[in-house]
Amino acid sequence: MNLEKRKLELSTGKTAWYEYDRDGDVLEIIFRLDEATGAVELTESIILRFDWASNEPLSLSFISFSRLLQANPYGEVHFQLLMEQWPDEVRAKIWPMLQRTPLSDFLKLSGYAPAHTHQIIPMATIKQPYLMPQAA
Amino acid sequence: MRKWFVHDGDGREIYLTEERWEHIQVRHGELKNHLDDVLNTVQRGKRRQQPQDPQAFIYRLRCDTLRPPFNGILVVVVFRFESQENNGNMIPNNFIVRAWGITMRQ
Repeated sequence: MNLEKRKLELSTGKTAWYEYDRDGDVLEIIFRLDEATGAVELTESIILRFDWASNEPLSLSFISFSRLLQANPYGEVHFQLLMEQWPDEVRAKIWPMLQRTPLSDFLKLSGYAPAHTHQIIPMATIKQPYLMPQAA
Repeated sequence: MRKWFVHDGDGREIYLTEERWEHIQVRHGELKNHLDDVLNTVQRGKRRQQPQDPQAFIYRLRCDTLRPPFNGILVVVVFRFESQENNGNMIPNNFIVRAWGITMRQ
């Protein structure tokens, strides 16, 4: 496996670990090296592992990472949060987790209002500064 | 280094290397000793193409033998090509990148 590893200093001053699998194009940001007691698909390309008891995130994984950051003509890309797939008790844990650090260092929440409907669809954009590849 | 080979529901051959399996078990302990369930997810799981990467697919299947609250397995497979050493012909190179235990709605 061809892994690129480095440390990240978060906005809180805490350290996280960046581990990019070049062959598989999967990036994992590890906040704490511990066994997860819960995990969900946040979006079609982002997996969150967390500690069920403390409601703390353990890692975020980005699938097809290099494609997620590609430029597009419309600006930031908003990815739909797959909330309907989360069991209710998980939803109650995840939503507050998404609104605070460290997850808020990497994801920004938003809502999409499609035309001709009252429904608001929860979305997230990827904050890039921590995630951009470093110069050699 | 060992490799395990399986075919997905449409007959595509996909492999998992021992190195990647060790990494999955270390990082995602909920899948430790669940090799058969991970491979079964590729064989029988629902397949979804990644919207941003046409060569990457997610296989997803309910799995009730994981420790709660995990009740499903998600596997990422990439479909690539590599050239044969003897004649330069391109052949499929489809492999499991990563797998997670996940908590899905019942």
